Amino acid sequence: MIDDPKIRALVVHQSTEPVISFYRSREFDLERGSASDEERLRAARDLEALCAGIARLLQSLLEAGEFDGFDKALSSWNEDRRRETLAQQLDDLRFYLSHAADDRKRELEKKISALQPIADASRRVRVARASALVQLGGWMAAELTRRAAADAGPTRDALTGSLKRIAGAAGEAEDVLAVLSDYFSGTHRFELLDSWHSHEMMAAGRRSWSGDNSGDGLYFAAILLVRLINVGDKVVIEPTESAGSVRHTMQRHLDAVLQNRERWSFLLPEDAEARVKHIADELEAAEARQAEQERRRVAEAPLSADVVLEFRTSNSSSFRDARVIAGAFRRATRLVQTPDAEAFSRRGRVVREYLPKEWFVGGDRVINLTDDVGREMARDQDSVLFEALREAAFAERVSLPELPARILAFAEAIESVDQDHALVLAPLDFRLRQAFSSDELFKADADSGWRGTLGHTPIYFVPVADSAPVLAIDLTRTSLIEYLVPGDESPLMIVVEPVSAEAAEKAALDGFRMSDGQDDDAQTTARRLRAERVLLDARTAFELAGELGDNLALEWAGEQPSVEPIERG
Amino acid sequence: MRADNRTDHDCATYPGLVRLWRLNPKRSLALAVSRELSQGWTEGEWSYRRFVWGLRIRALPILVFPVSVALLITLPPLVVCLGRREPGWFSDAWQVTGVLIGFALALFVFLMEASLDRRLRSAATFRSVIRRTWLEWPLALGLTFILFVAAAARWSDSSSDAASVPGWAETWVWLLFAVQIASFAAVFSRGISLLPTSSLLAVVRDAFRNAAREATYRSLQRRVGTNLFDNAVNAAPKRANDEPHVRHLAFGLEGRPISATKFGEIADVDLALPRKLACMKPVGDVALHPALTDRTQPASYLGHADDGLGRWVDYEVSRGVAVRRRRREPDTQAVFSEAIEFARRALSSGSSADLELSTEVIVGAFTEVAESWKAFGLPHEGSVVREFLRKTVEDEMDSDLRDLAEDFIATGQPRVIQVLSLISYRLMAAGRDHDAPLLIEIGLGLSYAQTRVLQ
Repeated sequence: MIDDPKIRALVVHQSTEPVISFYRSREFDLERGSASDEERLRAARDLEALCAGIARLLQSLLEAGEFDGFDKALSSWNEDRRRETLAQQLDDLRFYLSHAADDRKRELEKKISALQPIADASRRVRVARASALVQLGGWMAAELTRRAAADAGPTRDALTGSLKRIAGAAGEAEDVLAVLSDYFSGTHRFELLDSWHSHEMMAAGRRSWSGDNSGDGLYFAAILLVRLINVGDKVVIEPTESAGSVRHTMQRHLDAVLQNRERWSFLLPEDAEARVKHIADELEAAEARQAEQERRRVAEAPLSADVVLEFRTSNSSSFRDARVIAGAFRRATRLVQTPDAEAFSRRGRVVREYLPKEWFVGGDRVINLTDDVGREMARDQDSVLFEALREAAFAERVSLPELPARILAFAEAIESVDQDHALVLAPLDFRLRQAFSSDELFKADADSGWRGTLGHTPIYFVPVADSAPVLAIDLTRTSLIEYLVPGDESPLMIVVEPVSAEAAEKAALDGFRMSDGQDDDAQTTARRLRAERVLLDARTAFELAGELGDNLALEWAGEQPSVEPIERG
Repeated sequence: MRADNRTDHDCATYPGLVRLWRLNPKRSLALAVSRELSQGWTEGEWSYRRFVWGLRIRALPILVFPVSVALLITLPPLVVCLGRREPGWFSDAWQVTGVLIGFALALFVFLMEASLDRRLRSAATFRSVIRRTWLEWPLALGLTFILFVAAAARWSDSSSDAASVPGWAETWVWLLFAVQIASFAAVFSRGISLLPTSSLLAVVRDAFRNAAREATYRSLQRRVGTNLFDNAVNAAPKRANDEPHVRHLAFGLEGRPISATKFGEIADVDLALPRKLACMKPVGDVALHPALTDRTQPASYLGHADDGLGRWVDYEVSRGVAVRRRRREPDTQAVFSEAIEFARRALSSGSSADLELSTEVIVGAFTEVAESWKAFGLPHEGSVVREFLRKTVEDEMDSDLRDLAEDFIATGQPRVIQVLSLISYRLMAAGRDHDAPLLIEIGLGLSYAQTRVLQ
């Protein structure tokens, strides 16, 4: 700790000055028309990194209580040198282009296309700078709030003054909106506010752990929006995917800013309320515009052959894995007539519901859920078969409370014929926990799933192997228990009486939570999202399902399914 | 797990294993890595070969290579001179050589003292000082010449009817003598040029260039080697259910460890090893995790095998992994510490020139590290340079630099604090000039470290 104010001032100056000088020199390199394109792009890359570094330096100065040094460094960073910017150059070129003779147009177009990447890079730098200020402002605003009650002294006043300067330096609303778009689309993080993001400078500075406070940045961004957007200004948000998230979150923060209007009176304009309303309306309109644009894009785009191929491959595999009793299923099909194609017609609806077209048009978005369809179709196929089996003459009916006793009877029956035995229950079914008491059932290691004992009979709840004795249970849809001993052509079957529809639904939701760790909100959101998506038209959905179904049928018959991509306009 | 009843080999040490696969470019991982790295090398194919051979030569004791060369060029005239009448000037020439060797040794001692006086203590800097003066060459040539004269005198025929040495051989020996004298002259001249303090920059940069390139080379060897071996493992046959027999870098695998059999480091791995193991259809899983340049000792593991698998797996792994004597680590840290020490000394002596020089030395060292990555065609960025769970050369240097910054600021002298500002700016400027974003990050970090001292 250094006490001498002169030395402290010197350290502040000597630590910030080289960085800011270097920033300016790189800024000059970026704007300089005589530099090569490569050099200018490199300058833009360096400037983006420098923006984050300068914000961290400034934050460190505030933490050290160096408010004067902070103000000087900030004003030095934001010094307006009134140079012609790239955007202006581009605007000028476009103006000339619109008035140029035909023979000069090509030359001007060439110039514009060469300048465009540099202008984009320059814009990224502006956004990086705005982001640095938003983060710094967010941190200061939170700091000010924390100190509001305990410390009313000069520190708070100094922080207030500095925050005002930060807000004054934040540039244009367009830059702040771009920061928000990047943040919500996941391409940018508020590293200054997020301790989860380990950074070399943070580690070296031995900063204390504070968690992820990115919300502070969003809050300050809301303040900036109210300062920068006048009633009547248009709000443009890009990229399109994040418009909804921006609106929902920013609406919350805007409301919070209004609630604390007194505290931020030194930052907010007189007509803050009107501005907040205007911004909210504009954000909503922007969201609707962009959603419509996105719908149109998806509706017009052709299906991507690669995505379709990936979909088929992953769903064939998930279908194979998800069938309840692969081995038992094959045996059972000998006892009842194989359901005809009509019985599988439900899959068309499933596919249509689960497969919005946007998944199949390619692009940058990564979709991980497409194998749900295969799983769903496997269940569908099982249920059709089980429906048929329910009517079989050899079925024995028991109620749910009787289930443990009946399984125990199975175990004893096996014990009587085979000393080295085990029951394998498949699939791993959450509702078995309702049928067994907790001391009979416990979680084994991750590889072997659940296991328990019934009398002396060990029970393993694992995916079924073809050669193992099988006790298959599916209470979700069919209430069926099937028991097969290898080599035994006459299966012993138990059909559990169906529970009420409400109880079955509740059990299914319970199971969904337990198995997937999701809650009601997540399901509701998922349903809502599905409802909002552009769906495949019914014919395409059925075609897709049909081809997938054909492949699955081939696989069922033991043949290699075809996974050739289909050509679609 | 079923027991594996295949015949076990005696796996105590696996003596006498011949690894001919190391000569096969398709099977040797080291050769494949070298080929891969040579393709990225930006300074030409010959430069890459020179670099690789330079690494091998520098790994030898300093006099081995020059003495070998000197012996090689002295041998032809020696063979001819034996049993013939020795020319009279031989007996005078060796005395001149002896005196010059004495002078050279005195110069060597003097240079070492001068180095120590500047706090240059690492082996890498000593080697750099010697190599910059070329001292090893006249020493090797002189010593070999004295041996030659002694041998020629011992086995000469002094009788009057003895055949004289052929003219070409005498001329050859005379040329050797002349080269010696010239090389001594060159050494004295270069030695004197190293005496000024300003020559420190060249010495440290020279030492640092070699060390940094070696460190980068080893890091890339490890990483590229891991990728190539991973490909080889993925290409190995699998079980019917598509599960692999052999895995690579399988964390948390339980089972019997496959230990290395001796101390050293992994020099090479057989790319056919995964396929060979998989073709044996082991009844359990085998996980392999050998990486080039990794240290080995009898307690370290090359992989794991399921408990039921026999010792034949260990034998195959041992055949497929070549271990060599541990090479010394590149001296980047030691050399940089000297640069930092020099700066501290300049701080205590208050010499502005030395402070200025130390700034150049420190920035020069960082620049050499950045250049070493560029030589391999890779950008000097944090995402490229940093490795999971490994501290990089840059991290260590950065840490030393920040400690230095704290000491500088603690002096409270404005002139000294300004030096830090200079270092920070020069680092960033070097990052700009050499297209090395990591240098800019380090420069920024130094400024940040200064502000942290205020808290």
